Amino acid sequence: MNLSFNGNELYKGFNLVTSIVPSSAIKHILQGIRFEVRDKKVELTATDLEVLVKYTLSAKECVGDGSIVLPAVRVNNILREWAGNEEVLVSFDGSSCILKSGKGHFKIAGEDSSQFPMITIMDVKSIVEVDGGIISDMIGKVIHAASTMRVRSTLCGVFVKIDKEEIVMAAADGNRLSMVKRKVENPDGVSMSGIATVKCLTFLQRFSSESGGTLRVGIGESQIFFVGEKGEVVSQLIDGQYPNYEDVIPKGNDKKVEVKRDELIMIVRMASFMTSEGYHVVKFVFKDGRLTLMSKAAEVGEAELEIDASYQGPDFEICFNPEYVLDALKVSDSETVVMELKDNSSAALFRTGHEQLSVIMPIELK
Amino acid sequence: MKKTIMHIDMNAFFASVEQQVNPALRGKPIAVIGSNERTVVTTSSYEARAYGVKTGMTKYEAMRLCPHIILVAGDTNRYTDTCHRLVGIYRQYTPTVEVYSIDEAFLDVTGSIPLFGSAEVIAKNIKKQIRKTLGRLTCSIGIAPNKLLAKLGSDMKKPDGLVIIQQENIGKLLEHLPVQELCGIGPRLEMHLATVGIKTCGELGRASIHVLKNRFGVIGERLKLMAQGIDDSPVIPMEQEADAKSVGHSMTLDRDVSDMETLERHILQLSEMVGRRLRRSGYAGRTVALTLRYPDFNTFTKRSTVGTYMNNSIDIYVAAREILNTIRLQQPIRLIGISVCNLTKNTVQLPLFSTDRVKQAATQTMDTINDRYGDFCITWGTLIERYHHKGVISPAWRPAGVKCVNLSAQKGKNAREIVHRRKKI
Repeated sequence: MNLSFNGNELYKGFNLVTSIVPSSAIKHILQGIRFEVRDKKVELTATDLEVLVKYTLSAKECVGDGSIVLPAVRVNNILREWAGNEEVLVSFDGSSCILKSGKGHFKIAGEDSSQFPMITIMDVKSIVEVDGGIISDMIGKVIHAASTMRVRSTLCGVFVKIDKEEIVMAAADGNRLSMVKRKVENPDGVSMSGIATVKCLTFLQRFSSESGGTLRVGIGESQIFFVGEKGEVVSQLIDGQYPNYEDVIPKGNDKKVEVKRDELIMIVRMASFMTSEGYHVVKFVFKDGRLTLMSKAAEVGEAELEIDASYQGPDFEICFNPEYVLDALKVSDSETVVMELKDNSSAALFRTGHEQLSVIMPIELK
Repeated sequence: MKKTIMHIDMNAFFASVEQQVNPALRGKPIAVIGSNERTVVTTSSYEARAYGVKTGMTKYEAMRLCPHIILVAGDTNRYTDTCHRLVGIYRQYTPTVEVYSIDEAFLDVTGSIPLFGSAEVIAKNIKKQIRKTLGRLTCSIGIAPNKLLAKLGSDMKKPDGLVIIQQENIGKLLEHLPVQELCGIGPRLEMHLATVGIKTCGELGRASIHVLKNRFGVIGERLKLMAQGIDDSPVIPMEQEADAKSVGHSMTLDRDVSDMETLERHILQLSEMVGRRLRRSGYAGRTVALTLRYPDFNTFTKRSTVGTYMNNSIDIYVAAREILNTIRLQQPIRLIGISVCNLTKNTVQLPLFSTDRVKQAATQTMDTINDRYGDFCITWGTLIERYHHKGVISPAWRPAGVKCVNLSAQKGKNAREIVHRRKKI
């Protein structure tokens, strides 16, 4: 069969799908991308057996049906070079593929597409439609808080819950939590939840920006899927019970301090310059309408930075890992953030935007 | 200012302590060994040394050389306790005492000379006081302008020596001294020096700095200074010791082990030992390293770094087990070691979830119980019956701080007895 693509279109699609291909895999075929043409529709599929991605390409010309598995990295490298070309021609039989563009051509050995493992959507019963941009934005607001410690597998993902008119995403790593809520249309009153992998959601961010439009979301017992206009992402859920994140959001923190987000980001970042690998601590001192940040590290130096803050209570000090605070602030769209605090050993609540918050546990100095 | 440094080296320390405790052993060839089946001689008495018994020999080699040798399983509690008492004696003469190992110490007596008369008087007083308070323990003392020469001095006359190296005699003393006599030049370095024709300190001291730097890199310059008897390293008292870079433990197993369950149990035990020490000294670390040694002594280490600082034994265990799972073992395992590095001190990141806070509180309670009744008194069920530490003391042991390891109470039997007794109550 013969296909003709715009060089950039083909590269963008192929490169997107390649990002899901595992760098090393037990099955060699997983390092390939399934290239299928049926009824003038060109579909690329990649999987690492946990996440499966299908992406539809628009071809300029399309003659015949067929499928083949192509080595992802090699073909991606070729297509990157031809991304600026007006036309890239693709033709293949069951075992090899020919790529042509300009004055060059490649003949590439492929693999039998029937051997390529596919994940079928098994147990998802209901779906809800959500704008892809909203999903992508929500992922960006919480994904930094997911744990990297494989010891606690449930925390290595992002909890996604759709209930009533709301979609909620929450991520936590044992020391901090980030949560965001958005409104969705849910006429059927569907209620579903699960723990999505970071890999799936990171890919989904790219996928929704390429694909655009509305995503249909479904969560089953063991799978989550997102279907858009240009393709779909199916992923295994992380098995286990996600901790009750609502329990850790403090309710009665009486010290409320409002500060300008940009100012706070700047002084936290600057204060972190005077911390060290072994002593990553910044002290927040609230006093008479001012917030002063202090940091010091042996053999490095010390810093003291001050901004205005709406605080009128008794003098108060609390220490945080500056990375946690920065992570929470960077994903905020709001001009101001509100810190709700209790004492220097209780959870601090950072309200960083509409229906968006982070809970950060302080550091105790001994 | 001209310094006066003293190096005190206890003679056949473990063996002398045993002979002091048990009069029946006095005057007889004895060797102190560990309780492990594959143990080696840690120290032998001078009577055994006369037969050629040396530290590091297996007990069978020692018995072959000296058939009537008395093998004594070492009791580390006795040695650490004696070390504490010795440090107490040294501190009567100077506050600047660096415990170099369990049986060696450096004393900076520069400021004490006007008080006591001379370094020689201090040395003689220390010897006298050791004899008076600790019995038949002897030591060799070296007195010199720096640590390097003081150590050399104490090595020159054993047992019960006292050697004073004066500034004016250094050149003559070092001229024909073989390089391996200097502390810090081991057999391998000696071999490399021999390949460039250097055998004595005199030759090393005269060698071209460029040749030494080319051949040995950054230590080339230091080697030349050492051979000239120059050393400006300070005596660092225990309180001023630099923060630890890593905390670790390792153990040679009774037999080579390949089954994962047994390996995991040993890893749990080591994780608890490392975790306890981290917590006791206020440390937490982000990187866990697992060291494995095959029976052919091929040794390798794999590391894993996580996002959060940890000092909980179970977290360390899980991280180490994860590392083990990534390794395809080619042979059974002879030695396992676990260490935690990338450390932070005196900062406690509070946990978010109440389950973690409960876990933290439980760990704290376990630590308090174990502090009172001995390590592993309260521990995981998998460890209580079958595994206990063999009580081999590390050369890095110190009487205080993170390097202070309490090995005495880690004997499974004692721990079980205490547990049973407490159950009855």
